[in-house]
Amino acid sequence: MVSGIGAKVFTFTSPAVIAGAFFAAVIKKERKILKAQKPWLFFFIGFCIMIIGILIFGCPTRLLLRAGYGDVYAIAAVAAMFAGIWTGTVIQRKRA
Amino acid sequence: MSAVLLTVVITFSGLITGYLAQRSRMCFIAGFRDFLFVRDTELLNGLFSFLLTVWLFSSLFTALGKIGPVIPEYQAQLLNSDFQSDNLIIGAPSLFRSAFFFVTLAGGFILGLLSVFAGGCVMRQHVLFAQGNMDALYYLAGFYSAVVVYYYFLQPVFAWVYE
Repeated sequence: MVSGIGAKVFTFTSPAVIAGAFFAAVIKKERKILKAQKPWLFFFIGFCIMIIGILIFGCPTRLLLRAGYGDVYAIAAVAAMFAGIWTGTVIQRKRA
Repeated sequence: MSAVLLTVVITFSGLITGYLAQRSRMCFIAGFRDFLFVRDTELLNGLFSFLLTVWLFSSLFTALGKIGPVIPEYQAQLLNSDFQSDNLIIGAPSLFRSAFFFVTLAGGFILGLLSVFAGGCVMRQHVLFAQGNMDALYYLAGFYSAVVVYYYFLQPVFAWVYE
């Protein structure tokens, strides 16, 4: 979790996002435990998304950040991501 | 700005991001997915306002000289390729000759496809885990174990992409 700003700066963003969302869910009473339905499917999807994210430098949030910054590669990736979402919704609608 | 102060600022902005993401159910995948399924444009508005904010403020801070026109990882990974890291407008021939462009296209496609099946983008899965969804716990377990697997096993395999 070393950021691009400098090697000495540690970005604890993902624990901080979890902590902030936990705080919000607790004080608004929206926190309830849901049992895992398909644990290995979700494990596989998370694994693949991290590998792809390392290869193309970004999760969907960071791709949008880079696209707003003016990076040509990120704009192409966001366009391809929208195409992927469209394909996924078509597959899900056929399955349902 | 010292490193400690910067770490504190980043951590607090992460806390605020988590709070707002939980309250607004913000997700960058579900914005377009909800639009395709039920023509609901609420989260898509959030996506485009995010993009607009990033565009305005990155333009402003680049004009003020606070941030440079360089994505930090590219210098490390694409040192000997034909990517010119000091100008953002890339010529079309060098763009279509680079393998990274096609890896980006294919990777973005698979990212969108798999995120629809998982039901949310990466930030949304963190928020769902904080709410108590145990599927998101398995998602995050796979997500962070992939870092270890990549850097110890898969990096030589993928080295040809950035040769």
